Amino acid sequence: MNPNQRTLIALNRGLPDRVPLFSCTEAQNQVYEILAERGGAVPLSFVQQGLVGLLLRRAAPLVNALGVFDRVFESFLAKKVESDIALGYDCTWVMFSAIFNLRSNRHATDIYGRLYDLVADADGNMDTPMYREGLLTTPEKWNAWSHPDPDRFHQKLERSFTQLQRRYGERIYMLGSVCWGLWENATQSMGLPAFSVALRRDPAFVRRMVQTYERIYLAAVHAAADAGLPGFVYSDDMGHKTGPQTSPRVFAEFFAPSFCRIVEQAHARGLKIIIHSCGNVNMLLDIFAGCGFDGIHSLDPTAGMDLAEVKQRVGDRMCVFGNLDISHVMSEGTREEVEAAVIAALRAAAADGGFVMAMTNSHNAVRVENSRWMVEFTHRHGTYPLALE
Amino acid sequence: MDADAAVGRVLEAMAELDIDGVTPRVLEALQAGAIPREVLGEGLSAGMQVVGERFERGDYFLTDLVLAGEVMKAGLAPLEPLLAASEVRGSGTVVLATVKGDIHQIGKNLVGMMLSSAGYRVIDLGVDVPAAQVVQAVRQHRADIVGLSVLLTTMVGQLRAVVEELTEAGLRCGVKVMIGGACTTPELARAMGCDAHGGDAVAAVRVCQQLIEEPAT
Repeated sequence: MNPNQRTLIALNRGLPDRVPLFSCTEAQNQVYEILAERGGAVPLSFVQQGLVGLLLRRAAPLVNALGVFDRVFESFLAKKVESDIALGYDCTWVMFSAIFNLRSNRHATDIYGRLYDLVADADGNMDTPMYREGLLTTPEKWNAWSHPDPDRFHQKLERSFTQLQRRYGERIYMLGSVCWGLWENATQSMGLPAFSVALRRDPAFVRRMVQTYERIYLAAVHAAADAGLPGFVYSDDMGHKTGPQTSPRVFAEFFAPSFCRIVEQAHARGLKIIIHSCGNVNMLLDIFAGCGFDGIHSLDPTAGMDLAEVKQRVGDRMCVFGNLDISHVMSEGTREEVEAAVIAALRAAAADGGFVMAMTNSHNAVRVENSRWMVEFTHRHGTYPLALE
Repeated sequence: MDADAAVGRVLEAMAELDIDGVTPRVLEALQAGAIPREVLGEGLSAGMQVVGERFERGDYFLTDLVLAGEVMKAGLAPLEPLLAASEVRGSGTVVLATVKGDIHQIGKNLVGMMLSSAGYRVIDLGVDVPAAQVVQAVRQHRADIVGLSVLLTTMVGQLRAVVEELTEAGLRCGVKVMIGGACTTPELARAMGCDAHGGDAVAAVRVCQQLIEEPAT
């Protein structure tokens, strides 16, 4: 089987020749190390100091208009897919993240109304901008914001996804994605305090806000389909360390109808669609399964997500992706620890198929060596029929 | 309406997260003759305790805790000019910070809100705070507890940096260090030389109370 066939069978909750491997790697250091390319990463100091820093302090709008950093993000995305193929992944998450507008050499905003800090990873390279606060702290400010035009958004994403699919589509199963999901957009663009007040005072406004983000999101889903991608990751962090960020009732009432429409339209266009959420989302699993998502990812053990329990609860409705720990095992664990984690994940969720091996997330301290071990041990122990002692 | 009943209605507004009803009820309690300290302690703070209990039971969620912070602010607005500094209860002083390299603040802010409601004096240093600044604040405010928040796995080393700088400054034996945040565990707290771990904002208050009651090392 090739990676596309293997992944599709797993997403259909079937039994491929072996467990597929999913990449959620986004860290520059790992991508360029895998590709053995030196000098590919952009140091944060390059953006913040010298002539470039000065230019950004004085003329950030010009740099935005020229689309300089959009091209940096898009070019990195292609490198990321190349590195995933080189490492031996079967499927990968291609997150379209050219949504930022530089405000200066220190800060960026995004098209939804968030403010970010430009930050460095542990190697001093530019990391994904770090969310600081929402700018649309009242319904009035939200109403006045120039929200992204779905048609233009569609064009931009389709162009980017088409290039990726043409170059890499035969070698790896690509799941398109876009920053960010409906919950994150609603809560982060306003800031959680303002959102929480709006939810109480003005539920009609919250509904309108979610529907606006749904229209924008659907443009991204259709762009992926038009580009020929086979899958999509609906990425939306709805959990925190011990539970969902708001009640299942609020998710069911305000967000689930949009989730269901997104899934329906993805399926209507022939896309498989999985959901990614960080944090503890045990209480939301039935909502996700009920909307028809084909798979679920993250299932972070440090937030109390148990792979076997998730498989038991929703494995008959969703393919389960997970869930190697990045807080220790994949960042500083030994070869033996990685092997033990791979075997534990296979035991928990792989027996009857419908399972994809993955780390829970991506960060700069995950070691390439550990990622290689994850691939190696999944090949060794994850070939069907499983023979786990 | 008598003062006790009016204070009870403040508690109810706080517990029910009535963002628009809390300020009128605080004013109503003052008009009924309640003293500001009672409105704060037996009304707003007691109501916040109910909020914490409901969060722990799973009846309230993170957005409810955040909303509770806004309700508390609305309730405090008419009270603050009437409350002398000495009337604020003194459970202890806590310096809060999100560690250097991390700017996540929701959890830290919730901990600060819950601790303030429980009567602690909270010095919130904000986010991306260098260890040296934490040490300076501990010395300046004679803090009993340092609360460190970290979400990013890559930044957990900063917890140890704070502990080491406190030790170097000769302050470590007089201050307890507690941690919280997405990537933290009790094991991590021990590994980094910290004293305690709080699983969420409500648990953090309980942990603080335990730390304050423990004898100094």
